[in-house]
Amino acid sequence: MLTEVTLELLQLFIVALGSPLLVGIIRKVKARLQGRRGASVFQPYFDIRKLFSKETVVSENTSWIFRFTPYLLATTMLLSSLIVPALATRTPLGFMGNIIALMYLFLLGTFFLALAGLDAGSAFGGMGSSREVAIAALAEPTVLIAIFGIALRAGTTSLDGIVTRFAAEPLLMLNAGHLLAFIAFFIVALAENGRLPVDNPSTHLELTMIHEAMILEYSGRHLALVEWATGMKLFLFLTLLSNLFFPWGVALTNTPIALFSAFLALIVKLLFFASAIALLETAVAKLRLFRVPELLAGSFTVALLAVVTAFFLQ
Amino acid sequence: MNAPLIEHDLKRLLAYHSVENIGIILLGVGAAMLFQVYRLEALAALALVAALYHTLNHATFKSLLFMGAGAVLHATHTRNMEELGGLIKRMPQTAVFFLVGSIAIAALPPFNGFISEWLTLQSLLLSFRISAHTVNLIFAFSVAALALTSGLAAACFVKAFGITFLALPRSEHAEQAREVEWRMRAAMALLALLCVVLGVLPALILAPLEATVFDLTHAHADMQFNFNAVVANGGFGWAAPLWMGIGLAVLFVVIPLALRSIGASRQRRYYETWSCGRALQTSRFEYTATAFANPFKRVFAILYRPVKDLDIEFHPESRYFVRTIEYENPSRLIFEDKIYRPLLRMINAAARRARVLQSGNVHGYLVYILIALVALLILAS
Repeated sequence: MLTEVTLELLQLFIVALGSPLLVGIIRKVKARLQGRRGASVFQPYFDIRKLFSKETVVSENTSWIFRFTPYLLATTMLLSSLIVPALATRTPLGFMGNIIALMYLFLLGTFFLALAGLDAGSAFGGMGSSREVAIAALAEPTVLIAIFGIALRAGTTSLDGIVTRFAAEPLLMLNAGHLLAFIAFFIVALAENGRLPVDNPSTHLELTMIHEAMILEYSGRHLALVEWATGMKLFLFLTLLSNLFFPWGVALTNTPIALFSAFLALIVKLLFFASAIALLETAVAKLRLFRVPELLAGSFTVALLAVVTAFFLQ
Repeated sequence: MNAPLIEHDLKRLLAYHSVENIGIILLGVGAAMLFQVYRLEALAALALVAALYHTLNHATFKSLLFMGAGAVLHATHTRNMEELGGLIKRMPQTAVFFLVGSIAIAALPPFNGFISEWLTLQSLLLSFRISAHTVNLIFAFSVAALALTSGLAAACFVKAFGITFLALPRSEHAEQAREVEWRMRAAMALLALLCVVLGVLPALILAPLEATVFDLTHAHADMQFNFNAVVANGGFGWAAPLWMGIGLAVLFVVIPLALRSIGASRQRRYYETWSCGRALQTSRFEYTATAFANPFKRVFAILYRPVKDLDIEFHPESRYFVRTIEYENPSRLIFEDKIYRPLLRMINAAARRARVLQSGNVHGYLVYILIALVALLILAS
């Protein structure tokens, strides 16, 4: 009992405390690639701490939904961190949901954030909400077909089942279906987390913003919670990408040594993905908004190919 | 699912949306039939249970939403979303019930729409047990279709709830709305409670549904459930909506307490929405329902064939000053023109021909009864 609680708390703290660092690393690598020195990798922590100490300014047009959404976002992300196999394959609370339930939990956060964007009654918020739900809706089929592709080869949709099954397969990387599903899932991760080429996370211009437009009215602790939750969502998506598709080093047993090596493996994989994202963001320009459905359609085709190869190459 | 996205009449949006949900139910039923053909009876029963469960849930949340729309109509005398807004402050309880219905219909945890759609998805994903490749591909496309409609449903109800209830009122009607009387609210409260209960405690309804399906097909559905969790196909997938709900509630309380303990600032100031330095904030600056649906109109332009009507009236002295701008963006859904209208025309034509029978002559009607009786006697013998 005690070990289980410790394990869950450990995972919670790693996700909660590690996500600002992940965001900081991505920004630092991007800065270096652009020839700048960049802020410290710990800058997001300072930002969040500063935001918590400021007063919130709430628009008179808004309702309780505006104030409720940041807490809901943080809550759903923290709950997801208890389910996602970050360290151990089977977390004690992992029974709460399989990968499909996890995706719908993320969608709950998106739903409320879109409502909060509309709540302030500004054109920015409405625009951000409209674009965000359009992209989320178009990314859904890709997510589920990619999950179908994974589930076909793993024989299950439960997160620990997938990780265990893939960890036992040594020639995983040579499987075409696996790589195709990974590519599709990676593109969806970019779309859902508002990274280039779908959305620019470092801009505040209405021409290019989707996520930033929805949270434009937030300030103080609300903004801190939203920024933190966004970081956690990115962390969780990258953890899913690392541990579902490349499950080397994940702790199959819950011994302290296995967990520690799982932690180190996770750090290595996340660093790799952070650098890859930073490289991609530097190399690629943001897509015009109405070209994003084409990108998502492309990722859908890739996911469908993954499913087809899984069927025909069995 | 494309029709409700561009619809601005609240009730028509809900009605079109029922089409999507019926589609989900029929997906479950169809999957059950396909499984039955391939002798996978347990999976067939699972798909059927999912379909029936979704039917029940749909009845719950759709009725709730229609009642909410009725309450809005009663209070504001309009169903047009472009004239509503800000109702959450004037009709707070109706807003909460409509929100519960919206979350449920968007299949978000931990309400009932989530668990029934989850179950339908699980049964569709289990189609890989069938070893016919064409069938597998059909199932793959059906999974994609289900996912797309689920995402579009969430988008649609962000629009429906957001434009109707949030931000500032867009007309006099909306500004003067009052909360509806307690009897209307009580009905909605009951359905909202049912949405929550059916969502977090699916075992309550899954037991009788499984028994019903067993009576029909003599097969036990391939799932186990108790008050804790629902498990499909012995571990292929599981979900524990009760614990998800509890987890969400616990964390939701813990976070503000944790923030208080680290000494986060609790000051709050109320001010205007950021309007780029303009002095005035009116409802004209808000996003409209038409604008909200714009990305969808663009993406699915083949189906919508939108037409842009822009009328600009300039000041007589100079073209640099604009008096009024009128923007209309009507869309005609392709299904309406190619499927519904021809069908309606055919039915109307047939009805007009059949009207000849209604001569108003009682003797004529007696002759009809005689003919019908004789025909039935011949058929029965």
